[in-house]
Amino acid sequence: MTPVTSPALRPPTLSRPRLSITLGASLVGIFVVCALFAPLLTDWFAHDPYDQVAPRTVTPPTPPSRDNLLGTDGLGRDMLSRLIHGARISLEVGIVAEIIALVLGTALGSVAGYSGGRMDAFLMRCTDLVLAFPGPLLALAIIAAVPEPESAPILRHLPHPSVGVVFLVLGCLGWAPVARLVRGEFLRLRELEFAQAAQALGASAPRLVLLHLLPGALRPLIVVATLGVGGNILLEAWLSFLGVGARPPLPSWGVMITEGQGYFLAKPWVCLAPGLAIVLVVLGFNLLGDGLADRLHPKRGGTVL
Amino acid sequence: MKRLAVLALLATVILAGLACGRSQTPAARAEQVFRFRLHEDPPTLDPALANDQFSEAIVLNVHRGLVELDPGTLEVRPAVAESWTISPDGRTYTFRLREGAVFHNGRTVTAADVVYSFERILRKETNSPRRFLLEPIEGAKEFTEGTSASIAGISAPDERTVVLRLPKPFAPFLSQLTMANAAIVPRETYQDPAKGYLRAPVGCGPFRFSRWEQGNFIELLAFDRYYGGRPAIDRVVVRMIESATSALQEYLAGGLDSLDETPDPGDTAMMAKVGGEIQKYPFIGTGYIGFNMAVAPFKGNAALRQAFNYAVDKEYLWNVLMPGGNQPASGIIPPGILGHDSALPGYPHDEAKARSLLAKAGFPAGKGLPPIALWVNTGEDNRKIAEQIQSDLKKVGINITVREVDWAAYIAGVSGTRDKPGQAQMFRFGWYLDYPDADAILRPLLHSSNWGPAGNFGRYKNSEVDTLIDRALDTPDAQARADLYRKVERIAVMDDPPWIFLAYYQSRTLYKPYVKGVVLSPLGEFRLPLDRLRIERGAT
Repeated sequence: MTPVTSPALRPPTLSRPRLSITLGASLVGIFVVCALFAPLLTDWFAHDPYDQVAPRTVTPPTPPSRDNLLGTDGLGRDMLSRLIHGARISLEVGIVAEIIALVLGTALGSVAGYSGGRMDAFLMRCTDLVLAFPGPLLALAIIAAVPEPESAPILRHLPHPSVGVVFLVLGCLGWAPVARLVRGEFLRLRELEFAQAAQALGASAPRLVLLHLLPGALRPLIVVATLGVGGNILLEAWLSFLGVGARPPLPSWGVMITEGQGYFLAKPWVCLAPGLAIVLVVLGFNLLGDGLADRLHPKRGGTVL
Repeated sequence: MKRLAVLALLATVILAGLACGRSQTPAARAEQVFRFRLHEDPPTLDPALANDQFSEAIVLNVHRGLVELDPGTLEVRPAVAESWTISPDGRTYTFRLREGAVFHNGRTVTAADVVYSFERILRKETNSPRRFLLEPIEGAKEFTEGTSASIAGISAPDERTVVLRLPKPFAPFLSQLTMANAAIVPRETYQDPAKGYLRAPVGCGPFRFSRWEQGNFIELLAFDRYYGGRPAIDRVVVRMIESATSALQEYLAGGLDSLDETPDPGDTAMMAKVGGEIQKYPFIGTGYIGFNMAVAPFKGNAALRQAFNYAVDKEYLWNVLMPGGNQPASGIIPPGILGHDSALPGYPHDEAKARSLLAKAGFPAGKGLPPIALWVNTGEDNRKIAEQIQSDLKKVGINITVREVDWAAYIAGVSGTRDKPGQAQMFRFGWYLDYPDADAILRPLLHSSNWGPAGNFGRYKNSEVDTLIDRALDTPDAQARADLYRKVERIAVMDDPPWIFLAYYQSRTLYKPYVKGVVLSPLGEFRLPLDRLRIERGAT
């Protein structure tokens, strides 16, 4: 007999999850504060992210100075303000897209897991299809279908229509893993005594799903959602870097890296700053997710809150 | 066989001795070599087919036509024709060929060669992309279509006289004859069904073709019997180097004597090394942001287009944001071209004027404007230009979005089809003049006959402008023509602007300090004849 070495089943140490949750939560916290109070913060110690604040006589990007703590970008706009406002876009995309994915995935996963049979088989093949689909291709297909988000039916009402396309791409890609997870949990929970008992007592299908099965699947869902937000932020940056996501002049970090790559050797702050921001926020979400995964693992008897 | 070789050697030695004896300094002169760079192999060395700068870079040195352009003043000057007369009605051109013009194969250039060369360009089988240059000649179209065996408007009354007749006066005709395509070629070489001339061209220019190692280099040698006198440069090596970085390294290492790409001004280390060798000079091209005038909001709203023009700060764009490249433009016709108007006010940056014009256009502070997308083709610089314009427009209340698209989709989206306007409401574009004449920019871009994909992408239609452009063609007098073009600009720039006038292009070329006789030509570094160059390497 070989010992079980899967990380999920390894007995967790006490300090690791706590440390990664603390670290992750503080990193995420910093960015959340930036995102929530972006206009206040930039009014207080920086500039408007769209204003060309570099002196009109000097070729931007200008290096970090007292007035522009992280320097200015290729058009002379304050890097720090753009980073702070960029956090807004990144988190907005990360969280909203994850909510779309969670709602869609949970709904489809619940139906599949609860009903089983043909419905289950059909929904799971759809899930396989999405999981097998190369993400970039899907992204390009959607972008090709919505070439002008500014005049697209629903998207044009969003504050930033071009970001709406990113929601679509991420939402379309993100629901599949959630659906699969929920369905797996349901298959397991459905056979457990409490579910059997509820069913025997005559609980209706919605009641059984919403009040009994779903709470049982909550712990893994939280972990998946946290990791998902980090993944979404990375994908948003990637799409924007390729020029198919957020459009200039939006201070999306991906856009900022694209604009800064030309100065990589001579004026590295222009693309290093947004690059670091992406690294830190994604690291934060991953640490948080990993920590939660360990802490909420059933073997440790952890609780959600 | 061996004896023959010895004899040949002996002959060479004697000849060399004679040559030395003839030269003024007794010491053997060091061979003068000039090496410049092309990005890649020229698509063709056949003058009739040359349709790009790289091909022209070779053709213009191997070949000569009846007339040529002075690279500095852009005036037409004699080449194979030593003189010419134009009849008072502007329809008959009589060229007198010079006596000493000789092809590289040793044969004298005659009037029959001119007739042959022109027929060759117009012949359908030749498939010349520049046939239009000779189409103003009477009977040219009939000859191309095969309904006539000869061109009615070309005749050679004697060995040294060529007469060209046009059905109606066409002012840029002489300019068009200076193009590389109108070169005179020897029939015996160019009749070759195996098309050997494609790999070994023969002309009557200052340099004769020596060899071509595909993807590597082309070598030209000075032609001793060139009618203009043997060039000072003995050997020209044209090196094909695709990457700008490698080319710059090669230039630094001394493997190139000139280079058409200069380092980024922000690269201070590189600029310290070669900055002093950069030559900046106007190039006959204009950059602009076109409006789509077939659809709202730009259709029929000149005030709105004027407002956009005043809102954009071209001085900042070219002098501070992206320095070293272009010159802020005030109009359409670039400097150096007959008709360029240095007194044209254009649209200096003025936000107050922009705001009041915006209100006059019916969109006070930008209210009521539909979503507007500015299209640019993919590229760092293009994106930067677009974002700067976006930022400038925002200051007066105009919100536009920027769309970056790859070239094929871009052209389709910008030009549309003949009947359907393109999707782009605004687009970035640039135009290099095919030949140095205002007609070569005004007609393709603004005349309503070129509406749509033919060049007038923005679908500009101003009957006054059309009439003036047409009238200028029938005006042989240079001053009168220039006045007509100035009138065109007063209307098409000041009253009814089709574009945001952005830039007059500039060339930036590196020349080693020992290269002398360089003409900083508005035609660009590639269309520069090399027969006036010389190498002076100081005391060594």
